[in-house]
Amino acid sequence: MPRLAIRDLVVSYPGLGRPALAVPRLDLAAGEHVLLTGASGAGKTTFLNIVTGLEPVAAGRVRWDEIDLAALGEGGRDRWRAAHVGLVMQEFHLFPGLSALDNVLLPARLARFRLPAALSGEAERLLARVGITRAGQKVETLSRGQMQRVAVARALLARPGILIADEPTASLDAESGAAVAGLLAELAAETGATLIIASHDPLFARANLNRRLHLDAGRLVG
Amino acid sequence: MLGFILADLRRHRWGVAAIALIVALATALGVAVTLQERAMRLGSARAADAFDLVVGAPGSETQLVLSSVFLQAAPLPLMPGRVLAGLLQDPRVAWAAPIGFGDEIDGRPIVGTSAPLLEGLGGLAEGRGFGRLNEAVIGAAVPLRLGDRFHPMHGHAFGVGLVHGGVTYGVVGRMKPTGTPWDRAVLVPIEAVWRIHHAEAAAGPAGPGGAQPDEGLDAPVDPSALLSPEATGLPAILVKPRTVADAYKLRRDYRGETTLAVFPAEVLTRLYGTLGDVRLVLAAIATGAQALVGAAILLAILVHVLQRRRQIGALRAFGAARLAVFSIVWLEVVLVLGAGLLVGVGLGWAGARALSNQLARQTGVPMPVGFMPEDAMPLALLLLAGAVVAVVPAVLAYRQSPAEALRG
Repeated sequence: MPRLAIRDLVVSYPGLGRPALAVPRLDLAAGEHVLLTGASGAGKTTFLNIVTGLEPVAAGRVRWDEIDLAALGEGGRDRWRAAHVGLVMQEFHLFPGLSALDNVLLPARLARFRLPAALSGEAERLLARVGITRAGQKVETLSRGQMQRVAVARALLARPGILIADEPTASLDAESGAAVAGLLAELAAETGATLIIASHDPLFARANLNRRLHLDAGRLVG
Repeated sequence: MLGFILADLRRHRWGVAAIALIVALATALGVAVTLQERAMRLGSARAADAFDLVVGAPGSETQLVLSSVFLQAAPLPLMPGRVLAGLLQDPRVAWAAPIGFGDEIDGRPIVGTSAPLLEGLGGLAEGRGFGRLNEAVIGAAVPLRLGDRFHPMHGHAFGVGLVHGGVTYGVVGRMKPTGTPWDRAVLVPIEAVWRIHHAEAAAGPAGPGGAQPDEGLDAPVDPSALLSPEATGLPAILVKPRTVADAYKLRRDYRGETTLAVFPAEVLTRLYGTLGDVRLVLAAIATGAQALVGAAILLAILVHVLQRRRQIGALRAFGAARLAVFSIVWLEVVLVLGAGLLVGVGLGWAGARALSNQLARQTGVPMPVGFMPEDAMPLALLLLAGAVVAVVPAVLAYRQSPAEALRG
């Protein structure tokens, strides 16, 4: 499983005096479970965008094992992310009109010409694992908690070594949030993936995560 | 990918249907203009086929052709009766037949003529030709039966309809279908037409009370009456020359102070020139409409794509290939435009058909509506233009940053 090594990372936006994010040095061990906290605007989203390759690395190096994201172009980062990163967002970004199963399979379908036959079975297994029993149900008819479960199954389809969750419980009620939080930790542990959760939710503060990172005004504290 | 596109289109089906419908209507406009102009050209050319040379009194060539070939009622100037006599005796003439208008029956023209015209227009389907002055041969589309009797009415060209009370024709034959306005005509001996109007002229405007023309009509057709130099004036004569050379000589000889000879085909060609100009104007209007529709649709699609930034960008964040995002948007647009185009071709065809049928009912000229191979070209160009235009929103989606899209 990939290790993360960040060196001399600086992210600046025009019109801002100080960098939005400055990480001189950060190492995460493979399979670590990390909780990222910080106030709004502290740079959590920028951090996640950089380590998932959604934003280009302008200065510094961000290496997952042997891959330096700073050296990849936009298409290269897209392909790397598709193969290595599972994303769970606050908003589920599921597509109404498609079934739960089709939503899980959609990114894979749009990444290659022909879907490997085994993938469909894997998607059904994942849906069953996150507790969605009717894979053929249209996604807009699910509850919000169920929708986030489908999103978790989608994030895991490519067997990613990195699982990233951005405020995964913020739009759920307490019970659903706890279930999703539990699923993320369990599934990351089952697959050995490195898990990074950015969240305000005190739920995670109580959870058994190996490591906490706190961002304050774009700098890592503690 | 197609499954996703179809699900997406289904979800926006009303908007998609509205856009496709607008595209369809714009396409239909262009298609209908092309088809209708062609149908009118082909239909009228076929109707004029049997009419090699028409001789009339000096005046409008167009009016002469419209009245004789297409039986459009209009008061034509008359030429002296001896012109027909001269033509009938001319060795360059295979046959010649008078065309005299005047009366009508239930809105259908009664045309006075002679026996050769019956054969010249294709012959009889049933019954026999007129042998007596009060016998009539009906066109294929006239709703009368053999043995029916009818009273003619004054044609509109002469004012309000007025029944010739004393005159009765009996139907003795029916023509084969000719695909011309003559299918709606009732053919009677020209002498009968002459006699009725002579009798009425004698009786004066008070009505047909004085003379008893019916008695005068109960007589056999006398071909020699046409040869008489004192024969009544005629509005038009249909002439079948023996050879092409004869046709040109006759046309030259009969263009003078007292007569005007025209090839209907020649007059029609001139009309088609005008028709072609009209078509160009209409085609330009249709093209303009299509361009406007294209712009409006591009705008609608842009707004749609901008609203869906998050969705489309999210696809990439979750692992969709960048090219797939481009293809989805491009294919969606092309599918909607293509569907609209196809429906539009159908609508245009149906519209031209409906219009042609309506015109055919009014004029008796069947108008064949059909596509030609060259019609595919502008449609292909239109589709190509749509495909190129679709690149714009596709590129916008392609360039959409997934990170921004996720945040909305």
